[in-house]
Amino acid sequence: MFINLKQIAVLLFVFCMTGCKEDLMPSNAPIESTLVSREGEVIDDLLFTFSDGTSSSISERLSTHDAVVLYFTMWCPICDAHMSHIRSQIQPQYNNVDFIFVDYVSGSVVETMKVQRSSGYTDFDVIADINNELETYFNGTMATTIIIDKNFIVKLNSLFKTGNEIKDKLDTL
Amino acid sequence: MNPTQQVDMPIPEVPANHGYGIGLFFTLIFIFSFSSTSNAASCCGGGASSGIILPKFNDAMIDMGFSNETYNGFWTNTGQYKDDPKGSNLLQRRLNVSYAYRVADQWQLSVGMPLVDNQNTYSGEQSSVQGLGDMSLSLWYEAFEKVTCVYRINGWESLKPSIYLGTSLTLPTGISPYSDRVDSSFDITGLGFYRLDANIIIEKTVYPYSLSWQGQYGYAFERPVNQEYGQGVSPYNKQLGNRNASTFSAAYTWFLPNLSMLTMTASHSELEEKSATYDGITDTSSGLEKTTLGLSFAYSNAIRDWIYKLGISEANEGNNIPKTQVITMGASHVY
Repeated sequence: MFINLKQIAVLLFVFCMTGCKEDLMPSNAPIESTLVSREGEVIDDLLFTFSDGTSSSISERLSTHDAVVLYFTMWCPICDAHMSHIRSQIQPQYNNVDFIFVDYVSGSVVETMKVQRSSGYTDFDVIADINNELETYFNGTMATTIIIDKNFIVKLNSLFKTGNEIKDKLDTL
Repeated sequence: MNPTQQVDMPIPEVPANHGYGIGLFFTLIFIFSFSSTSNAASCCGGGASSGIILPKFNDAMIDMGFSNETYNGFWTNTGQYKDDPKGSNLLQRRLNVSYAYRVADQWQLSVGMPLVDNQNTYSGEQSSVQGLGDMSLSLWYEAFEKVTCVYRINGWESLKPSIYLGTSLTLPTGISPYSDRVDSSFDITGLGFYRLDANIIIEKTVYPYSLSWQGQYGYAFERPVNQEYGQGVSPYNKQLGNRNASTFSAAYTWFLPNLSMLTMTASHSELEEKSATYDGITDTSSGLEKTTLGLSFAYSNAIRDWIYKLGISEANEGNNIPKTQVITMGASHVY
């Protein structure tokens, strides 16, 4: 036996000192975040630019729908799985809800349309978030999901999880 | 004894990006993490997907490896291959520093520390992020007392393989989507979950040939989440799915005139991760599968205290995971 307790202690110390506290000791306590969620907030009548070059505002979309759902995509495998789930499992149950994907990475209408076509989502409206306006406004990133109701209130502002969180919110509208 | 069999053979990782985003793509590496490498095991040493393995008669080993992982499209959750958006260029480089120490005759402990460099151009977005990945701590038991490598078979006794039984704990030391120091999916270098793996390596060498199989079963612990990318959210519990990994490898060793050795190893790896759950509810869009082929070379000097390694692996099939190619190079020193 040649156990060296000093070396083992050094290794454990390195473990404890190098990690992020929030991940090493995760908590379920609500936190005060420097980034403010829009959830519960009445938002502005934002103008969307779509991949086909057209534009419309939230008020215009809500004039024909009960709610708008925005899903932020970077066209990655996880995004594709989520979008496929929205298309097959959620959208068919909520015909009067406007489901829109937000491309926050392509940077232009032309590129957004190209990747929309190559990814097989031409049956959805896709926003080209050219100057990262929506990304900034909602602190959006991959899989961020936003639900806006008739009163311009953000009912959901979080990452996509199982899809049930979207259904739960839409059921309350 | 054949230290040259410390050949690192890549196996699929997750993702990185399993979590979510390019960074998560990356994290699939330790993906996120089966470590990005696995090895042809050896009675005389070798690596494992969950850490390095010390040769039988050495007290310690330090290993440094550099890996370069490029991303080229992905497989959807139905197995359909799709290209990345035009203009995308995704790259993760990792410097893995590992240390193994013999704590008893048949027991060894090892620690692995990955440093991660994410370089992404994804359509209109560019990012460059460096940071610590998810570290790992491993404990291995050698279920054999004498070296089992032989030069010729003389009866049943000489067919006895080397069996390693191990466990490894992955620590969420990297930057995860739930860290308090991240605001974009491009920043991710870790998964954010503790995971406990049970590992087994069975290996037999009859020079110059060697065959090995490595199995791994990983359990990710559920964790509470109260923020996503730095933004506070209603607390919930998330648990990644359990993982299964299996790697078969075959090696051939050349004995060189200067008494050094060169070993070539080919490997076939399969990785599966079950679906994640949120507050106990299954996320049917999660989970992944990946099949990877690899080829690597290891050169050992005459004294057998230095081993230099070079390898390449490429995913050739998968579900819900990026298609990647990993080139690795590194060196190990035993003493």
